[in-house]
Amino acid sequence: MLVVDDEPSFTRMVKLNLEGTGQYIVETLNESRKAFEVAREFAPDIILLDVVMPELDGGDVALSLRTRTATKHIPIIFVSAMVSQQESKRGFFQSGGEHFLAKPVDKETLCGAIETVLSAAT
Amino acid sequence: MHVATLDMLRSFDLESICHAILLDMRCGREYSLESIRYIGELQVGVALIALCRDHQQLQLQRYKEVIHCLDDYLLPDRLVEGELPTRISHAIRRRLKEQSLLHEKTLLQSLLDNIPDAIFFKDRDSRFTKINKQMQVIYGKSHETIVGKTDFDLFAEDHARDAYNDEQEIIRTGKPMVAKLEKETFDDGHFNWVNTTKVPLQDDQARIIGTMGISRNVTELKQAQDELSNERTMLKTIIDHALAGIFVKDATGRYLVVNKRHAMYLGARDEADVVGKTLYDFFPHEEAKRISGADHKIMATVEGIENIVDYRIRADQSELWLLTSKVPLYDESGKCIGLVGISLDVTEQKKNERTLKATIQILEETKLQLIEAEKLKTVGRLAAGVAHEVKNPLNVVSLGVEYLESQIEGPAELLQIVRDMREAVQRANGVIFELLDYSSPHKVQMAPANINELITHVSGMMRHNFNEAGIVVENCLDTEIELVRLDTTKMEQVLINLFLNAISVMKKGGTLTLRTETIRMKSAGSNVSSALTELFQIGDKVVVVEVLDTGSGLSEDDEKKAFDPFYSTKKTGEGTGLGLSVTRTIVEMHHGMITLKNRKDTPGACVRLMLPAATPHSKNSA
Repeated sequence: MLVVDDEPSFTRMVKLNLEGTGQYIVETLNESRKAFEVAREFAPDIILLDVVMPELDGGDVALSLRTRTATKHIPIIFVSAMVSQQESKRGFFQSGGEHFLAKPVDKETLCGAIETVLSAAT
Repeated sequence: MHVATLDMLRSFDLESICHAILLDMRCGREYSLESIRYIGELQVGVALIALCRDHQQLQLQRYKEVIHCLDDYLLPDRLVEGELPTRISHAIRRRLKEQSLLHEKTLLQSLLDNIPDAIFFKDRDSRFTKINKQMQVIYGKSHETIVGKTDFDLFAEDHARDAYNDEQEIIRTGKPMVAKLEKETFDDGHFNWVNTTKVPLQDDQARIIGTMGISRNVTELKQAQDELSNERTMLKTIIDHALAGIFVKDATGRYLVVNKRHAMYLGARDEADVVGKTLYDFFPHEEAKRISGADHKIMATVEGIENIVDYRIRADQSELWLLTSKVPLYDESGKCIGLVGISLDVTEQKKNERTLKATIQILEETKLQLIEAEKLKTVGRLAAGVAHEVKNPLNVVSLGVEYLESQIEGPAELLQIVRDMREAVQRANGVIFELLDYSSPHKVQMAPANINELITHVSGMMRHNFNEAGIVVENCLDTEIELVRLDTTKMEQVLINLFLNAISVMKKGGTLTLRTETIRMKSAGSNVSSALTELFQIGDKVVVVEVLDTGSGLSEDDEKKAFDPFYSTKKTGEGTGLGLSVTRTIVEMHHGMITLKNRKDTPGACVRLMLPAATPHSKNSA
């Protein structure tokens, strides 16, 4: 899977935790404008995408991925701190057909979300 | 001396060289006539005696006009022995007597003609017999038109009647009327003021034949006097009725004039109680000396003082503030003879000034509190952004801790440390959530809710604050409590405010009792206030929440003003004074009411919230 977030410490922690489970291979990216290249090359099963990022934000990145054949099939989970209180309390939720994870997120919610989205995609 | 010609006669000062002149009429007609005329016109004290041819000579027509200038005539041919000197000396005596009479008459006439007063003579019937020149001028009438007339012809009836009566009285009694002020009113309405003296007029036999009067026009003087009198009346009216104390002192400091108000300021009974006294009669020695010194300075330097504020305590212990101005008083010659002062009672203004100052201070404090409130509002807005910012790093920490926990198998201390860290991060997360909950804008959303749950939630949230203050929270919550329609966030704010207040009055610890119950409104007559009966109807179910602290309780002022905006018992900077005001607004929004009273059972305050229960019977449940 690919984790795109401008905060290196966050991507590092996600990678450590997820790879620690032994179930995932995690590639991280902190520069959102490289997202398409990396996604095409790495071809992940799922992408965790931060919404608020400098340069290209999560929305733009998602648009560029979904408009290209090589990447358009990859499911995306958006991760954001800027969600409403109720959404934040639920942790993982759907809104407008998209999957969202509210920050701060714990390992259990994270894994649950990934499994949910992957099983829905297959 | 023998003089032969008229020219020679003219060259002499006759009076100094002789007492009598014998004129020989036989010297020629023209010469005789010229000589008599010349000597007669001189009107000197020299007797003129004609020496005639016969007794008939002087009867001639030609001498008729000059004959009165002759004192005697002699017929030289018929003189007997010794007759001449006798006749001459008789003529001289007659001449001198005549001369003196003439002189006296001239003087009298001169007096009559030149005196600036009107002089008149009247007969027994008060008819004018003679008037002087000045009277003709004053009345604009000639001597001829006045003589024979009475006052009734000259003046209006009233004055004429008075004058007539006066004159008849004088004639009857022989007593003069001295210096009577009379108003002479004329027929055309104009008038003069005259000062008149009238005396009886007597003939040789001392019989009263009429009156003589002298009248001086004093109209201007009278008008000036009247003006002065008016001015004096005006001044007295002003002094008597002025809303200020007015006083005049002489050079020695004695009160000459004082009005009632100033007498009052001095603590005297009335004006009479002050006049003639000095400051020493009204003030303690030192005080009198001080003011007296200031007065002397004013008179010495002839420089007044303006608006000096004086403070005194009256006999009844009330305070008196006076604004006093004093100016030197001069006499006509410009010499300073005392001072005039005016004192204005400004006690009310001083009191108002004091109140104003206090009000301004309160306003200043309120302004500071407003600034403080504005700052808090800003902080509230910032809190949301800050909380979001904190979420990211917190997430890094929490994920890191989770990873560490999964990786570490021992020793136990290490595991404990990681577990503590995870709990700490969770608590931090919880705080962030609560802060966001509290500060995020909310629409008012009323929904039935259990107030007990809300109380438990908020008191749990503030657990730390209670612990820190050493406050024990005692819950006495009615488990059967009715639901209340409320906006959770807003009611949370109410509870937080109440709890924070309780903490602030129990800084050294105490017990906070939280009590809930459902009651049913009973009939009026039970202990219900009018505000209650307006809000709730008899039979309505009401949810009561009581927050009881064990602080020092409320002062009377606190009870009255506690819900006023910006009223705070806390120091500036510790509280805005808005808490309870906002609290009441929120409670009223819920159709409820809030009261703050002292506890009856124990020292401390009791806040009582009454909210309508959300039952179909409640008028507010729809």
